[in-house]
Amino acid sequence: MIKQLFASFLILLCMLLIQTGILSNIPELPVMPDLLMITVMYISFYNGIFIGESVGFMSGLMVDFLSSAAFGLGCLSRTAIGFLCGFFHRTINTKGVIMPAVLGAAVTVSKVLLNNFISLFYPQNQITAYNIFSYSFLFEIGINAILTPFVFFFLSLFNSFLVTSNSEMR
Amino acid sequence: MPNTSQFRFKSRFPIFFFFFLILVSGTLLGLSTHGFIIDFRQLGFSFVSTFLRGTHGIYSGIAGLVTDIHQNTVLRQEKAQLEEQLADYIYLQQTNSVLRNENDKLKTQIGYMQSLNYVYYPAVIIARDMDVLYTSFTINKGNADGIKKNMPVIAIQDGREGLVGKVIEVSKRSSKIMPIYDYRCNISARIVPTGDIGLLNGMGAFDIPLSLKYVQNTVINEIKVGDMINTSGENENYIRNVPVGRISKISMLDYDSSLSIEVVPVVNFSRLESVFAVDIKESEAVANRFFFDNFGNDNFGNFDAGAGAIGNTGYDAYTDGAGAEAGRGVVGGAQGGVALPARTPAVTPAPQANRAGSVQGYTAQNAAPLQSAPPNTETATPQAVPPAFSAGQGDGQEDDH
Repeated sequence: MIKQLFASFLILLCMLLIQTGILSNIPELPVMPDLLMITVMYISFYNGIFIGESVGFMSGLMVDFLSSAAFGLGCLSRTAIGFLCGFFHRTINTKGVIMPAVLGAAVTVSKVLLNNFISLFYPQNQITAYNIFSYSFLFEIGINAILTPFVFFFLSLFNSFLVTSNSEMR
Repeated sequence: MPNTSQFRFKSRFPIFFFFFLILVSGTLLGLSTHGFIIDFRQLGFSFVSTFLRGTHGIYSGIAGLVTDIHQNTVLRQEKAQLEEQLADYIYLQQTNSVLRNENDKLKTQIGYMQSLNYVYYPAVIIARDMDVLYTSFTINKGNADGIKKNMPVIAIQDGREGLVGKVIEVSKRSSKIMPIYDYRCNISARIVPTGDIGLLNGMGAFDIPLSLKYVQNTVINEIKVGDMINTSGENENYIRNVPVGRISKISMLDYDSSLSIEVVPVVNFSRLESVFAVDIKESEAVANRFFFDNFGNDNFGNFDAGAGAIGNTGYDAYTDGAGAEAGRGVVGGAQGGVALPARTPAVTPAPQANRAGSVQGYTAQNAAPLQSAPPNTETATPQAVPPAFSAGQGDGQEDDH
């Protein structure tokens, strides 16, 4: 399990660098795909709740370090996403193209709803709520749905490092 | 039995761990937002005040009915008085605007040119915020390069300068910038042709115009689409007279005495790659010093602080070997040492420098004074500054846009 957590950390770090260093500098992209969230999804679906929430927390910390959002927001929402995805460990088929795309869209919607839910409990001027009727929200769902199958395929190449043989902590 | 409970704990450990992580995250978020999840005092107050409101509503309904008739007469008289006061107020506001413009012009004439003394730190944007809702940039310069928190950040595109935002977080080798279109960004801005001041707010995306608020609707006939909006410099975070944008839409709201003005930023953020962080503290010290020396009045600030800042500036620039770097252009030169030579104008500004041109012009023009001026000259003799500073009087242009 330590091996999986360490490998997940390295993969998340790479995804973070790609997302912030490369994708964020492409002005043609209307919104940035959330590669970290997709990675957390993949690891959680294959490893269960414990690793899922731990990896979600790690990715949230990374996001919080770089983002101008209030510190802790990323941790809170991504831990919950990791937990949620880990809850469906081995009950959802993540192979192929359609299912990962649907999962990518669904988890993006969950992330947005979680963010808006969290914003109810904290000062309004500190946490910005998503406008669920905006184009950027639609674009984000779309771009994450399109990229999820590709990222899942890419991550499947590292299954020997990322996936536990038996889900001992589930 | 122990085995069973041990098994239960083990099987439920991920759930406990999840709540632990949520608790940690929630606490972190609470600390960073300076707010607790539930304010019990507020909750109790809301609960009790609901009943209070109901009681008060019944009471005021009965009492109001009785007093309405009497108040109607009183209100008519008050209305007439207020209309007179409003007319006076509008007149005072117009006079104030005229006086402000006059004041600005006079300041310009007597050489109150803060713009001559700014220090520019060039930087490159290396990343943008990964969260869709937030809009910060990361630049490749940090406190090791001279960047400080709250420094205003400008950019030059197609030979024109424009405000980008301000530094909100600094690490050793990188800094985070909040752009002007961020929701949390508020800038005191001035409509250039009329001099009216308002508050400029970002709307969360660079392709959505900024919103200028609190401009009185009495000036609607004086402003027009295309008018330039500059920073007013009234809050200390932003330097004066930096172009921010142009008016793209003016609308009058029936229920508000202020206009609703949309402003398109001067800077094209989708093409933005390099920026300049601007230091303003030292230049203010020089300006204060200049006034003190010329008018014998220390109302403009503390003389000692001004002298110290000038001395340090000169000394730093001298001892860091900035003179050797001074020949480099800021824009085209190497990024490592370009900030240092730009400090020299704080002591000896070039006569013909204006702010827009100074970014490229400063270093080359001022290489010689830097190399020739010993550090103790600036620290020891207060008189050394005003003549050099006054060389720039009247020649600098506040705004060439």
